[in-house]
Amino acid sequence: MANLVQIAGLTKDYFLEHKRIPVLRGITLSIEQGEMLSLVGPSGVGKSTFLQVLGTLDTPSAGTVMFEGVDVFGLTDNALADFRNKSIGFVFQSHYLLPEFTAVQNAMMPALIHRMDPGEAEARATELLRLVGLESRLHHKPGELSGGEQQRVALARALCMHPKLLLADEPTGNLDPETGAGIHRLLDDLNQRLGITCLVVTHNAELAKNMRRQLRLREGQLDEHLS
Amino acid sequence: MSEPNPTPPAPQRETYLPAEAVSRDAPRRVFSGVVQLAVLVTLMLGYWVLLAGEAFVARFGMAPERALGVASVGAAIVVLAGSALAARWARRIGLLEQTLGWLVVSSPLVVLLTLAATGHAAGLARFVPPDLLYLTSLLDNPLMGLLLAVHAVFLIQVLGATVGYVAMGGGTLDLRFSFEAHVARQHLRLSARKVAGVFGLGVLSPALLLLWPLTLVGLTLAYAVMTSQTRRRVLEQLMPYIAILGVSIGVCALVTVLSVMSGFEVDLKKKILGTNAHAVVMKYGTDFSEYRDVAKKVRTVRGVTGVSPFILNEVMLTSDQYLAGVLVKGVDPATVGQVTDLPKDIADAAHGAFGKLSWLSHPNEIPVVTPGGGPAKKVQDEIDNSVGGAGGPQHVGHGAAPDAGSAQRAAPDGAGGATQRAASAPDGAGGATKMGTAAVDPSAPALPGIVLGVELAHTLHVYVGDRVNVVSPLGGELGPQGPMPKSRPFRVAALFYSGMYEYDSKFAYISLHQAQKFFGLGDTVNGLELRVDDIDNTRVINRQILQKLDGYPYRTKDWGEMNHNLFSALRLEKLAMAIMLTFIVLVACINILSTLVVFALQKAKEVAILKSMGARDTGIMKIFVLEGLIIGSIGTVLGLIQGYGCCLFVQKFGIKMDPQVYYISQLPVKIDPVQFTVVAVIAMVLSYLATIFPALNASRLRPVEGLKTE
Repeated sequence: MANLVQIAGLTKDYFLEHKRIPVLRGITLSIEQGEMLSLVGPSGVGKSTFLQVLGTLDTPSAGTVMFEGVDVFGLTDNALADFRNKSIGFVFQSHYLLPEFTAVQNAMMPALIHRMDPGEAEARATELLRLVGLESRLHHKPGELSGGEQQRVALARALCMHPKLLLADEPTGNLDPETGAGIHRLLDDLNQRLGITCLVVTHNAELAKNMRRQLRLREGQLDEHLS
Repeated sequence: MSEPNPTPPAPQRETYLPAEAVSRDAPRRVFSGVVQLAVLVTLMLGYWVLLAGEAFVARFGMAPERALGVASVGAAIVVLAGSALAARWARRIGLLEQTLGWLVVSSPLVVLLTLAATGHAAGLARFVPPDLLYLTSLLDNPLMGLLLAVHAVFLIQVLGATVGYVAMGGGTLDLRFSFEAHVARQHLRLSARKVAGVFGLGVLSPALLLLWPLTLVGLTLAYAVMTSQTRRRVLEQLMPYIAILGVSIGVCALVTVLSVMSGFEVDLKKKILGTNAHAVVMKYGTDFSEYRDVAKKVRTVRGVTGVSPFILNEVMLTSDQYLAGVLVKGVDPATVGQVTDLPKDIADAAHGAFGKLSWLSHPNEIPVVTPGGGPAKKVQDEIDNSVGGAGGPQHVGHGAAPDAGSAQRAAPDGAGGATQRAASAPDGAGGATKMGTAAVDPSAPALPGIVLGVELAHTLHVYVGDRVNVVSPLGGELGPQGPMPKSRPFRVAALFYSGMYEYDSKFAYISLHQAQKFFGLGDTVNGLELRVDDIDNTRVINRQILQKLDGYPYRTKDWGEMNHNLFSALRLEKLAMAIMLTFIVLVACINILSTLVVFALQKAKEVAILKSMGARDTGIMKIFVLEGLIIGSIGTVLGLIQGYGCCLFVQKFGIKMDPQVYYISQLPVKIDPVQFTVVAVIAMVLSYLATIFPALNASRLRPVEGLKTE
């Protein structure tokens, strides 16, 4: 498999009243295309920070993130935005759907940002919502959907531009175990069917074990297990 | 471990990035010499377009002020486009470069233009568009005019730079608003139904304001029946509507007041240009005897529609007991109607005018009131008694008609007793004769005729047919104690009403021949009065006339120069009013700003989500700019409708004014589409500018910061 992401010496420090607090300490990682990885670790260890840096929502204090051979933090703001639009899909713990928009409008938003024809964007979003089993809830607003449904809309939105890398930050954290398991099955299915590389942050050890590569973040460093 | 509040340091990209990974279109620095140069070149180019453009456009025979307007629009487009391109190059607004460029170019320009305008450096005047100097001089304060002009330039720079950044900040021109419009509309929670409701309320707002106690009770009741949750939601949703209301009130006030002031200006201009000619041709010296030949030549100039010779002098008019200092004008009764509205003003019986202009040439036709007359005589007697005069005997044989104003007071209908009755006669002239109280007295000496303003006649207590003496301190015979004033009796041939108190109380007309005779001028005149087909083009026509007459010793003056003080005061007043009222719109736009700032804070997480999905900074900026523009445009359209309604109301139903005091019976209004458009543009520009700060602020939000907001 081709190398998709190459992380080298990734460091992230926060500063609190001029005091340096290291969160990520020189992480090095390589992710192949089509892989499914889990990332576990105690709360506050920096899992979300790692995901945000990897997804270019935040900048590293040092280190490089090479995506298909390109250092993403060397890109301009516009190029970085385009990179996020086309190559990365995010699923957050709290779905972060836009409350004023319906499910289909939420799901088609990345395509609209890409300046896709609205009709085409809507068709694509509808197809993805059908894929995640929400064909009957297309025109419902987030407030009218259950937690699991909301998370599935978020998943459809993340997949809208057919990203190469899907980053999911505790996507089942707010869901009951059964619904959470459903979401994980869906991720697994998408990985199998669409070949999307997935990195999933989770607290659920059982779910994490189902993935081929399991990463554990501890004191700013990554441990890796293969199953 | 819990994550502390992050204060991330600047990323140390340069330490670990390979050179080839850095995009070629990397953002420029905070200051760029190239961008600064571009700004300077743009400003200089804009000024050159203004200077050369006016001269170029004027070649096609366009009126100077219009040519200046066209050149200004051209220069504004150059500055706008140049600033936009500089922002595109910089990939940022580049306010630093724009400000520095403006200071570097504008400061010396203001000094140079001020020196040229005040005549301290006449040589510099060739670097200044002459009409710019002319226009700024009309404000009576060239420096203020120039400062306004250079500030307008900076505004255009900022507009250009921000528009350039929003539209081309991504490196290519992107005027699409697909998701941005979608998000903006959702933020504002605007729907066609709500917008229709806003317009409906806007139209009904005068009624709601008039019935304010009921409105207040209704609002209080509506508020009381709401649940606390509904209240909060309603108040949140009301924010953009309050901003819309603010803009509409500002725009409504601005267009209404400007329309009223324009009405005043038009009314004043109409009255001034009705009494005075559009231009005059004069000659240095006092020997303008070739005026007939000059008039022939002037008539051939394109745009000249009438020419008439005149003599103007200051004299004193005396009646039996009263006197007044006046300007007496010798005119040719046959041609004066081509250049002024005097014949129409004499025919304005509704305001007390009476008589015939032709009686200037044929004074023996002037009706003279016979002794012991009927009503007219009685009114005159009343006046005489009231002022304690013994008017009877001296009026015998010379007419005893009352003055217009007194007659108006005496008449029960208040419309002017004798005047009204006389004017109501079918021929409009011989009213007194037909009433049997006055008649053309064949035995009366044929004194030359004089036309007086109704206010002047009032002052002198004379009427048509009465005798007045024209007294001039100059040109009299030499007496034992030096030169004696020259005096000659005239008979009042007509009264005119121009609508301008200054004219109606200070002007008297006699025939040109009598003026030449009285002032001992021989066959010379003071000048020629002209009327042109386009008053805005008078200065160009004047230049053509001077070319035709080979310049010296002839000179010309247009209506603007002749009434410089009045029009400059009016313009200054209108400008000051416009600036003050623009502040109302500005305050309303600050309301837009505050609404958007609140939106930016409320929607920080949403902005971060959009950014995580790939929205560019310029895309986020477009959302907030659109929101501001939607609020601004709805408010502006609503304000224009309300303003139009106010103007129509004032026009149709009117705000009555005392014509004895203001010389107008109703508040004048001029509904000028151009003025409405200018106000709309001002409101939209201010609305747009109000969006810049919150839009920039929102666009610069880092996604990770937005996601952490609650």
